Amino acid sequence: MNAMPSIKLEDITVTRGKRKILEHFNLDIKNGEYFALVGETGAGKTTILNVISGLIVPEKGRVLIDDVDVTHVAAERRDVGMVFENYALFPHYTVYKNVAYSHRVRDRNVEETKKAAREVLSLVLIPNRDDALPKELSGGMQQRVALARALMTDSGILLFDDPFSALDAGLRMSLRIELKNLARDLGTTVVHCTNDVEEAMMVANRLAIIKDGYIEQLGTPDEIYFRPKSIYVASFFGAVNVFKIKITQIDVTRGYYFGIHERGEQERKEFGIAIKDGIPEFKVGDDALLCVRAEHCYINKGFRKKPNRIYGTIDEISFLGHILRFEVKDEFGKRYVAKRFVNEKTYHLQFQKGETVTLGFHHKLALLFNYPGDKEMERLEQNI
Amino acid sequence: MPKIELMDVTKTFSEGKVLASDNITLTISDGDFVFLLGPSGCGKTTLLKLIAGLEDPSSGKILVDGKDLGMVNPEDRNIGFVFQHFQIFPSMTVFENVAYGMTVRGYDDASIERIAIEALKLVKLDHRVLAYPKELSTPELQKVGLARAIATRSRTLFLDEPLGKLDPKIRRPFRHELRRLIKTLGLTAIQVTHDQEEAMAIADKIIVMRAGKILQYGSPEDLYYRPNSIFVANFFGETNFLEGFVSNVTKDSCTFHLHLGGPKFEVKLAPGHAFKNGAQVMIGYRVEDIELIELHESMQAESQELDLEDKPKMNTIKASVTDAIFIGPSKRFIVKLENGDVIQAKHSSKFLLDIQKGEDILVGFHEHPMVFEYPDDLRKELSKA
Repeated sequence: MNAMPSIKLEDITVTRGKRKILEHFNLDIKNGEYFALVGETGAGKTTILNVISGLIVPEKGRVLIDDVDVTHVAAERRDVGMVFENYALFPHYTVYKNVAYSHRVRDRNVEETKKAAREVLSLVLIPNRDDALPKELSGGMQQRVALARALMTDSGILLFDDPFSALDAGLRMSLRIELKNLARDLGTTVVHCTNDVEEAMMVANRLAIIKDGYIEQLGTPDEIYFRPKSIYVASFFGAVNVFKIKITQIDVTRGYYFGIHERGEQERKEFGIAIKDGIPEFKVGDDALLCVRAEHCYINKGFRKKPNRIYGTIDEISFLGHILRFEVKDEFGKRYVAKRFVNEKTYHLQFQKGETVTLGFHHKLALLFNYPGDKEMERLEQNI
Repeated sequence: MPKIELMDVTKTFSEGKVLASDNITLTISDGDFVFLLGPSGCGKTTLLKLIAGLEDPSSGKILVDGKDLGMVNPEDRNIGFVFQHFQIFPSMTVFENVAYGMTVRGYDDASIERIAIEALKLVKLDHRVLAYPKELSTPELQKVGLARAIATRSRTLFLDEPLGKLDPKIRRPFRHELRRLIKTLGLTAIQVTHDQEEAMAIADKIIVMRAGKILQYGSPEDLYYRPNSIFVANFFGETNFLEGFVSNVTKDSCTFHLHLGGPKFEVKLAPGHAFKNGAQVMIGYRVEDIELIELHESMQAESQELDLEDKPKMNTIKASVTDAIFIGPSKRFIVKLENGDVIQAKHSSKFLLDIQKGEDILVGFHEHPMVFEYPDDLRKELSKA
């Protein structure tokens, strides 16, 4: 296996019928990197993988693997390993035959194939099941076999297309960690597609949020979470509370934006937000979109009137195991979400439905974006 | 609002060879939102069909509001269904889809319009009445399915993986919207899902099934904090299981000896337990219950021991951090204990724990773990499939 090749997509365009799936798409994946593509169904993630593997030849643009132009090299000669959501094992082939398949079609030496197959099967922890048929194995085991088959290829590139979505939560978690360690130990370059951003954060060194065929944001897990470029990226991690605010004051020395949210005659909320990296520049009088993640909202009993606070009553409490999720309605009927990490020791600090509470957040954890317009604002408020 | 009772219900298929429901007795209170969960083939779909009257029990009785379901004609059972695959007629508008059942049953036009629009308002789709299914997004399609079920004016709603087709980004807010809707209408609802987190988030009660039997039936908190088996403990949330044996067993405590030469520590036992000295056990700690203590911190703590009197007792074990992964809202740690066991811990990333990969630390275990007898077949207990 060539260790750690780099992958470069240059100005790629792919159309299907009249629809442009990718247009002038660029991506640079470093050698040995574990890279994740995150997006909703139909965003174009699988198309990107297929362009890398050669299953789709783009109408425009170039594909470079280790700086060699492979745009017109057929998929089987690019020889990248792929693992799919549905495993895609040959049902009538045994575990061994499935794994050895790529070597057999290339007429490799039988002894060499055996040795390589044995190695990869023990790497993915499936020893001694050579003669089993896929249907005799659990979903998790089948996916390990698919992974072993992908590891038999020579390019040092692995492409994962939502590999864990058919598996249950516990297994998914342990396989993610295994996969990450395996890729690191082998020095493989990996591109991993998923619609689950937490999965991407767990495995990848860098990730790209894909939306409608373009990259909405590319960065490390830390950057994507703490400095999201848009509300679209921010809301991948779960509920985000939103406010339309007007910037009223800018304190450059202390590093603050101050703003107010006003609606109707009555509603008036004051906010102070730390100016930090990634926050756009605003002038006094500008409208802005203030976002606070549900997990960055703290919840306290009673009523305390101060900036960065919202008062309301608890409308719903959901128990998610290690998290309690609170839905709070303010006196104007607007809904907010706060999440609190709990464990057996802290769970008893209970809140009741209907109780008056104050939600607050730290000025350094708030996010500010350019105001997206009233229509989008309304949609965001409804989607909380 | 109907109350549903099952009394000794058994259902067999293939001339008694397949036992899909094994002597099930349970009560679903009116207005409850109940989830059916379990590995595939556990009998949850059969149970749903039995309660809906789509299958007849081989033996036993099902009562809806005290009336034997077998005595009620299927069309009079007054049940709404929502399916994973929507089952929306592509050639009909949103309105026609929702009105369909009423049209077939010969309602007058004025009533049909009133009821259909009311249902579409509830799912916030009244601005799309004339749209065709192909113009709608996936969540909108499922809202049509929901509106159609609501328009039957049934007091009971059956939902089979209704959110299964949605992306996680949309599914999460949608599930809370679904619960609000069901609660607003005061329906009794029964939902089948394979998503444990979804069930925990919105269910009033959860039924966990395996091999045709009910393993546990309770609130999400019951199942999470008081699981009655390793299977249930492992099925919800993430649990670290530690293997070992017990000694000094009293009526409410024992000494736990961690296997592979690990240290021993005191743990509490539930009153009425049946553990004997020397018994092989598995104890379980949720990932969020695992405390990570930096060595310098623990030295400080010792020097301030007097202040710690009120704190719950914490057993500590030497360990090293093999990985620390930032996942946005939370941070996950993979930790190797001194006896070689590998466990995981998960904490809010708001507390910026500076514990790093490779660091030697202490792991704190509180004294109230879940304690289970060592099972005959551990792999089977820990498998979710």
